[in-house]
Amino acid sequence: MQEQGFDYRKKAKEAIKDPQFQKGLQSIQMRIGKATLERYAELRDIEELRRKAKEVRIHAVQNLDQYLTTFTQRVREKGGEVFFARDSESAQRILLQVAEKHNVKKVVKGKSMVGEEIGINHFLESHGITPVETDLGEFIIQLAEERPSHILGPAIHKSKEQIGRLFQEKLKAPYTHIPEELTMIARRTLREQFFEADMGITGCNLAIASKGQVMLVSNEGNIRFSITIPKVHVVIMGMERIVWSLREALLLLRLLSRAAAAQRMATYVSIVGPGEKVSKDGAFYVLILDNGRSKIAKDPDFKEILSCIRCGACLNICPVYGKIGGHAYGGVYSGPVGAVLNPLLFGIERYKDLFFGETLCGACKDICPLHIEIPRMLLELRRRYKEGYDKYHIKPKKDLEYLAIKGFEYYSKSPPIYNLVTRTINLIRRDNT
Amino acid sequence: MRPDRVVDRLITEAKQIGVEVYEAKDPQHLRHSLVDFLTKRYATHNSVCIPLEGFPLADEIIPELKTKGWDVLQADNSIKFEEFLERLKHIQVGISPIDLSIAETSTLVIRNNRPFLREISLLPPVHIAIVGKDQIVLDMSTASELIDGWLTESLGVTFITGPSKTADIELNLVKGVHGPKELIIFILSQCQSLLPS
Repeated sequence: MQEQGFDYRKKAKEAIKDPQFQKGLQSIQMRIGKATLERYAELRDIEELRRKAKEVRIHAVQNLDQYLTTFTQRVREKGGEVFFARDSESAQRILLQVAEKHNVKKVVKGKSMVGEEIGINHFLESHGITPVETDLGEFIIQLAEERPSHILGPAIHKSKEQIGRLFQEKLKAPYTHIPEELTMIARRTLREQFFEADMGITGCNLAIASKGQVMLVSNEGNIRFSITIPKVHVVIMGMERIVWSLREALLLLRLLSRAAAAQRMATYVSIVGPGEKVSKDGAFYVLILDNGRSKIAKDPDFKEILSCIRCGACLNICPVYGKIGGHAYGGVYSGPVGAVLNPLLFGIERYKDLFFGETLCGACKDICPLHIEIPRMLLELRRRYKEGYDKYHIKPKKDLEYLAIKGFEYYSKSPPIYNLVTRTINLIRRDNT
Repeated sequence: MRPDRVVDRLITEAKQIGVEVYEAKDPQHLRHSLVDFLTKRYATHNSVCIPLEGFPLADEIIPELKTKGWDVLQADNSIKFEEFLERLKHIQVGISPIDLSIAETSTLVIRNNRPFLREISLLPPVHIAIVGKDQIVLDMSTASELIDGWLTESLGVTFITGPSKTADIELNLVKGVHGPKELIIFILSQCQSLLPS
């Protein structure tokens, strides 16, 4: 869901003035960002792996119909169900139908940016279903009724003291600011929730088309709980998050682990599909969201952004994100990737500050495991915004700069005017000498 | 790479991510060192879950632990899944065989069609994995061929690399947020394969 009344400059200033926020941002960039580059350097054939991975993802983006058709067939053959949602509203409706069919009262959720796009939590609550975020960072954010400030570390803007007071107030836990103790409070609270929930909703790191299964990655183990304990598992995925084979998924997993948290391998990886539930009334659903993606996939200038695997590495190095944090980006996605995705998905006019705000320094492209050309796309967005872009209903901007450029264009293209002006200038110059 | 070198690599990688590794030469040795390890390390909380399938000498180790005062949850088909889960909630140590190990990342692979193993390796605060020496491969490429075949035949797989962890509070690394806080590997040298293929 998009934030109402979003103000880039205001949110950026707030973050810059917040010492705790600055500490969190600095810490994630100094520690994770730098370590990611070191992890890459360990692999001798790293550039070859990155090139291959990019190729794999671009092929998928260019052949989405074929990939998704096969994936859907395989899931259905194995007894699961697949739904396509054109936008967030239709995704909400489908989700509600599935929840009602299984008489769901409580949902445990894994962290999902697509879930944020759909606005699952608010929607479920308004229909009497309790959503519980189970990733520790997301759980903290949900209790605080705030928004994630980082794709992977949603609560990096909060101090341990703030979290301690939050747990004291909302969970009636005795105050502590020791991370180990806070984590154990969350463990006990959430452990109960897993067993009370009737449905687990997870995102999708990558769907594997030829297998009809999805690959889910986490360090905490909350995803494993969400898919094994409740009887129903719903996967929500952006339509572009797919590869063809297991081999391709594992190649991307190796890069994802290094890029996301500077690990050689993420702690838990589940490859799951239909039929995994022990309980007889178990069920497996995949909800595939378009929400503007098919339009981007057809756009030669921007389709590359759909190859993104949401590792968050670009956030961990971007000098702009490093100061203004995730809230300033207003939409679901933040950092360099958000500066391209939010405008394309939720409105170029509305999110123009994002692509004008980045510096084009290229650090994002360098750290991106797929070397996605974010700076090129930021520049392209600026051009489209100025010159107009019919596909996105953007009109050309007739400001002073535009008039000056247009005037120059007219002058240089028309011989009589060109000659007149040049002669006049020469005349003036001669008079002066 | 020679088998011993692959084992060495697994041990090196495991240590780097906070996983303890022990080696046992045969099932009898494993039985002794496992009982020894459990009773010395976990004197205060005495409960363990042991699956019968894929666990060498389970029929000997279970009575031995029981006589030492341990509460043993036996995971086999005689128990209903719901009841099993209910009891597993209170168990301190889960022991499981695994299907495959990838040395270069110290990753353990469990096939999801193994009854109980996903739960045993997730719920208790301590997970002890039994790894047959012949089940260790060097890298992901080798592993992916095997796993690809498994996915075609049946259900999915679970990869485990180190204990459950989070860095969500001021980037402090905390172990055991949802899954096990401790992961221990016992490598069994004289062993073809623990689980039926």
